[in-house]
Amino acid sequence: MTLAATLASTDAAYKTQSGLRRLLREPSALIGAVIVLLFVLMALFAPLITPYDPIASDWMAIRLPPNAQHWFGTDDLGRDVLSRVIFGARASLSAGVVSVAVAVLVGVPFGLLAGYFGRFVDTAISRIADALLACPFLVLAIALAAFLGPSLQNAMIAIGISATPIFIRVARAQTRVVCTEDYIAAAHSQGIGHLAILTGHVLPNVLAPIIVQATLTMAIAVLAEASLAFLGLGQLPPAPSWGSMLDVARQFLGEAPWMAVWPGLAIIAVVVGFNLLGDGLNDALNPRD
Amino acid sequence: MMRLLLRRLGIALPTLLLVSMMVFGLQKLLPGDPALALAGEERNPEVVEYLRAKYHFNDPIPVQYAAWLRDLLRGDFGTSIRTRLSIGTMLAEKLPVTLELAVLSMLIAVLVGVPTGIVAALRRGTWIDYGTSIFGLAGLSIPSFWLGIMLILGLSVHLGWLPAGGFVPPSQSLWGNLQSMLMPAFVLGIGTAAILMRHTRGAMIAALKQDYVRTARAKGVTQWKIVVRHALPNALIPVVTLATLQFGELLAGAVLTEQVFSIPGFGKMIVDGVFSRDYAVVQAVVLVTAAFFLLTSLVADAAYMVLNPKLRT
Repeated sequence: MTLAATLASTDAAYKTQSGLRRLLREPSALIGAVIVLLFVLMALFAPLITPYDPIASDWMAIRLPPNAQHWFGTDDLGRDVLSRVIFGARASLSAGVVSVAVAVLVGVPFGLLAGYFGRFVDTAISRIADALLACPFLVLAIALAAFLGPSLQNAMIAIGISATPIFIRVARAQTRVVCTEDYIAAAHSQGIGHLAILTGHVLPNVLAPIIVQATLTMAIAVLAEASLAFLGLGQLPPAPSWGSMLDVARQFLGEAPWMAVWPGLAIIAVVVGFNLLGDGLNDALNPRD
Repeated sequence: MMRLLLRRLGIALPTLLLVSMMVFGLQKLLPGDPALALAGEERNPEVVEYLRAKYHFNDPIPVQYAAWLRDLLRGDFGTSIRTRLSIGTMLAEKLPVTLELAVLSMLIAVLVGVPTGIVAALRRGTWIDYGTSIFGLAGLSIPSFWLGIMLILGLSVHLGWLPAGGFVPPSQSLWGNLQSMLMPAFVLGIGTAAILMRHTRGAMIAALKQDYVRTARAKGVTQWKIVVRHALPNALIPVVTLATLQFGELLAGAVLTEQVFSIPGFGKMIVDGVFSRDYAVVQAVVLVTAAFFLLTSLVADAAYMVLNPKLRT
């Protein structure tokens, strides 16, 4: 390992370790992490913990209010709302993870290139990011989902593409800062290639703000998936999704208000969890902010 | 200042051109023959042929784009396959409804967000500050469509105080119009209020730490005058910029709010367009929203330059 690479990795490792120590001292971040973890476990073990089949209709139990058998009540087709809320976590969290992964995998390399090479490359990539940012997140996601066709998979792609410019901006800005460090100049002077510098020296040192942004974007992505499903452009019925459950619940507000309450509270809990975790990570990893 | 604004305009125009290329490119995502897809479910052969000729589908893509852009510059957004109306006419009809909703929402956001942000900054570390922090987090985390549904449940279904949905034009009844817009404007504005509150709090805390505030305190100026005359005007500069930028976001947020409250505006137009496969309508709404967003960014820049004395030369 060259001296420049050692310095770069030491700098990144030091920042990560001190950041983790600060994170453990942030109570709000820990609360956020616990909420997110609970929902992840709920999504993973959904078939084991749900009392009923989330899709099977029960014509004898239509729109029952919360009771001992159905803690969250039942919906217009007699399906258990609790079971559907638990299974709905799968659509929301997978939409969050996949769309943020798409945005990171596309946005970060372009951001690194723009920040590292500057000049024409920077101008071209930044203008494309500006154009994507000029279309508000939800409108762009709706348009993409409309042209790609309604499905959870296409909703994830649409949300991912809409979130990409955020990561281009963050990675570009951070790369510009890192490129002024001495270890980058040392790497250049040793004749190390651009690709090796970008992956071995720059990337490890721009990861902290990207992790923070990814966590905060998870909250936005979960909201966006719920919004698209509410509009009929996400997970299609009968598969459970919090957004589509709210869309159906809207028609039975007077007779069965519980159908609208629980999916909404589930969305709020997950979004609060990711926001608290993201804010905590931001305080821990970017203390100067 | 003028030079800076012209430079911003010089960036905004190519960005809008890129947006137009992206919006045009959306058509290419459609599987199969785009003329058939654009013609909708009826697939009337005459309509298909008209669309093929109008959009130059038999020509190379750059020629298609040039023709499409030329029509746009003439104000011709095409014809809706659902309503058979000119999309330009539809936009002219729907946009004022959404603009009214956005203006009322911004009014609520400013009236709620800015004072609570100021109070939170002045009472830093107290239960008022913690309460406003919770409000800020809630504003960012509660889905607007769920809040809308809950308000309809409480204020319309149970109490019967406000209409559950629909739109009354102001020309028909000003009071009826305000009643029909109050809940949607609150639902749309409360998220922006949370954002404005967080930024106002931060900007006020920063302003109250400045030397000129310490000097004013040393001269014996009252706390009220320090806040109103010295700290607030400086703290509000970034908040005004942010509020202007958020105005563009409100247009996007209106999509969900208009759907929940059945308001026949710009947002509902895109949703209806999506479900009737009226792709030209979807493209027009995305393009106009982006143009509006770029315009609000320019206005935000101009407001920042006008309010910031350092940039007034």
